[in-house]
Amino acid sequence: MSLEVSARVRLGSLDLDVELAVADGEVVALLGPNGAGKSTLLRVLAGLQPLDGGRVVLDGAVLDDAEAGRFVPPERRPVGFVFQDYLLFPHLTVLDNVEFGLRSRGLPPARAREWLARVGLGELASARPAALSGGQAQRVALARALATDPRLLLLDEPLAALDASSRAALRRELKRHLESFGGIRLVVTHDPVEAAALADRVVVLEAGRVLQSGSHQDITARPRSRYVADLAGVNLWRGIAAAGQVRIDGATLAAIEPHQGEVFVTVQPRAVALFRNRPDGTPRNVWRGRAAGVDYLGDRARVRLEGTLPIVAEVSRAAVDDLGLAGGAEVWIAVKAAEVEVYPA
Amino acid sequence: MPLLGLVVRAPWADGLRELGAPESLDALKLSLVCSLSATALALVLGVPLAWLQARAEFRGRSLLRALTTLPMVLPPVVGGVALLLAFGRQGLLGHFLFDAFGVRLPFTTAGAILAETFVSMPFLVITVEAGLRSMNRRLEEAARTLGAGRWRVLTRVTLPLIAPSIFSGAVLCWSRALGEFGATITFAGNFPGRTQTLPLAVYLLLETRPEAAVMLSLVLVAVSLAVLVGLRDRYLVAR
Repeated sequence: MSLEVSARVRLGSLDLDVELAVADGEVVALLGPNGAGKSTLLRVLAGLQPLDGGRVVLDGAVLDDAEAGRFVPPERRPVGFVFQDYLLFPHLTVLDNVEFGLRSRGLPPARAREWLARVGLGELASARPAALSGGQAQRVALARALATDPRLLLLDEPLAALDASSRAALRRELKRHLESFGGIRLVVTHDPVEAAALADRVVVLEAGRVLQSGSHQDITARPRSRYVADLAGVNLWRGIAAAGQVRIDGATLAAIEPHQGEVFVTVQPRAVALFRNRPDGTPRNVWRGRAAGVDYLGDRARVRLEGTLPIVAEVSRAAVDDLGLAGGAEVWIAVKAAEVEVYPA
Repeated sequence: MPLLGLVVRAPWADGLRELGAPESLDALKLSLVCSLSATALALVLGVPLAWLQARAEFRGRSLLRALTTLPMVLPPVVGGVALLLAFGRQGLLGHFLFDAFGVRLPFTTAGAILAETFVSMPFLVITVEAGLRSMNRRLEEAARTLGAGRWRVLTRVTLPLIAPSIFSGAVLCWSRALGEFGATITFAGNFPGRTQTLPLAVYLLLETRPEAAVMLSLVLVAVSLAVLVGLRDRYLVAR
């Protein structure tokens, strides 16, 4: 009982080439920037996008096999799809929307009322979708997709269309519903908080390729792309390691762990210290830079610094004022070798 | 100004009597029968045609679309001549229809219906095609992921969603059919009770009993105006 995908699709500027295996009962978040191919991958699984190459196998049944010419049409796949904009049928009532899938699949339509009650919308059964709030529409879409008892549930940015105030509450509720569903769940998102909250495993998709896969902690601790590094809020470089040193574009960082060859290097912004005068003593990595921009986050501030090695530092508001960073002051940048994390590329 | 002339010169006193005259009633009845039949025929032929033009990918689609809309810009008389050449006794299809089934279309009520369909169907096709193009096709995809086959998607999602377009198209088509003159008189002739619809009756009565012609004209004006007023809001909202 599992999902095995190897999908190759060319669609406009997108060149999707993804291998993915999901265990039964697993919740996987597909995380990535816009245009990475996340939604296209969901459409492939639902049968809405034919494959150019590869195959899709769900619970041992081949749904798609480009080479063998096998293709199960969407209406015969045990798949539920919650679309980003929900796509409730505007000409049908809420109840008819949920019954639609049951009637199409020859299941007893009475289940629709149970599902509406389960998502807390029993009283809105005869309402039209146009009369619903975003959160209510999202719940109807979820009930409609789950009512047919699919083996695979696909959710395309299920919370993106909601305003920030209701998103947190609905995220908790969605998590509850996802937990009560036994099959495989794939959630597309570009929000790392959502990915961490809803999924057991996060798969990072960029430019049509799987870049990283693992728990949220694993991925943010060892980012392998600028996109993930920005999500995790860490400094990331790619360089060449030799004898405790890493060379990055003409600059050098000293690290403690010895590595060889191509590596990724991360430094937490909090571990970057800034000084007006050259610091004496322990820090092994010291260089000069100029403040190029300051973003305030409460009483902390993130400072972008230009120099031989551009870096982001997180310092207190007081430090920004003391050092004149908002005015673009020149400072000394110091990072302890122990704070330089190195891992193979 | 022409409308005003019509209203001012209308013989209001004798008007109702004129409308009640047997030949006026016959023409009115025939007009309703023909225009409604033409609308029904246009629905049966036009909705699939609109679907084909909006959804199917094939070579010659733009040519098909041009051919579909041609009757809108063609002088109706030319349409009538074309129909005669196709469905007349000596016509390409008419020849075959008569030999095989003994069916004769020119100068019959069926011929009048065909002529009206020919001229009025483009209004329906264009409106329905626009409806199909502007609807959210992803709703059809959503229906398929819920287990609906193509037929169920068509009948439960696509057609209900474009119902307003089908309705507007049918009403436009019907009002155009009601006013059809050129193709009808060319292809079906002007036989009272058989092919003499309201516009044809107006044309004939103008010679003999102008008051009656004016009254029948007013009926046509009233119907057209009602249709336009009724559809206007729908159109302004849709655009």
